[in-house]
Amino acid sequence: MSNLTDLFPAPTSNSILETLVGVADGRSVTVSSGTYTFSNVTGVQNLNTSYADITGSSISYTPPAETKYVSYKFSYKSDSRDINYGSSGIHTLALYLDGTRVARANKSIAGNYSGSHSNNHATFTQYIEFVFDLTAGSDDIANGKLAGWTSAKVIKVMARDHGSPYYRATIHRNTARNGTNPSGEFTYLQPMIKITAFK
Amino acid sequence: MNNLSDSFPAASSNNILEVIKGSADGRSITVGSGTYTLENVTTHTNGTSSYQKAPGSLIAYTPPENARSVLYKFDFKWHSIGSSGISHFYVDVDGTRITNSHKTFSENYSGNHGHMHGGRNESMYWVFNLTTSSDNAANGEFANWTSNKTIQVKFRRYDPSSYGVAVNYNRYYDGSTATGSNTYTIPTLTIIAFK
Repeated sequence: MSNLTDLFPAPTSNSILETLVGVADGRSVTVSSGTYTFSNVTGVQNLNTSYADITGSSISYTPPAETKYVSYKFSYKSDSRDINYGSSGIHTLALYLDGTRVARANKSIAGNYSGSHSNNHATFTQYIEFVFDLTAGSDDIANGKLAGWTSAKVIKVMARDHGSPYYRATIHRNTARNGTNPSGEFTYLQPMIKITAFK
Repeated sequence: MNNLSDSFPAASSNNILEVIKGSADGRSITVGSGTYTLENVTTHTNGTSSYQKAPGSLIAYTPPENARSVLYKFDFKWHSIGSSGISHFYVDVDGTRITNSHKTFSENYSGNHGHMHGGRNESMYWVFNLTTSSDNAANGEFANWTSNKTIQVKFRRYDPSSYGVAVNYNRYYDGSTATGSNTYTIPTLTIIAFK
């Protein structure tokens, strides 16, 4: 037997259909649209001058029926790389949906130059976020617009760093902890994905 | 007559009345209180020595009838365009500055007025209190919010311009000077009405 509230829904309700959130530690999370397994990130990732997938950012997602908007947010730890003295850690993020780059979500991230090619202390949490619009008349994925979304699509983030050998970047990394250098599991931080489907 | 759901509330429920969340590309979003069109951001904006709107932050909003608080949040890309990029931001409602929403952002001084590498996500927010007995816009408090109020973020750079700033801006994209669509990134605007 159904609940009375299924037949007589609340007069005011919010527009969130489901929220899928998890740390990239290999966990599986079940929401109304299915069960999703997150990647398991177990170390830092050094970026290069060619684009590569950011570990932990990829997920194959199908939103629930009635979804009009899908918000994807990938949060990670940004750090400058202590190679050639590091410095600011300039890097570039690109968001992809089923292999197509969503250009307007592009981001370049960096700490400020430290005044020399050493003292590469800049380290902070950053993210890339985009709200896909599923109400379009036809697909225009490069602009994040779709005419519906009824089967699994892979969302992921790719990244590269600056060509200068002095401004390289590493992600998911902790460079200092408790006033000293980290070791073991404290050397890296697993990123987080949050997806929200709105009607 | 009351709704049946007033007498038989949902077994699990929350206090969110509605959520507006979108990338600022000109889209229209319909929720319980109406249809809202976000701004269409197609370029970055440099700060000046006077306060100006952060593009993508503006919305004219009326909350649902039984809202008791409204969260406004503007997530955007901040970038230095001169050394440390010292800059100042606040949330404005119908032309009044919300005093305690002020934020100053900057990066480390780079050792000179070049090498302005610092660029990152930042956010401005305020939670409006709708349970007060009278209006106090400078505190973000409203006793009766029944028609559109315009909310936006305003910003300026620190003087002089050698500590410049830009919003919605990418520099050094793809390892070189950003060009074309890579020079800007669109911000995200979120409104949540709570009962």
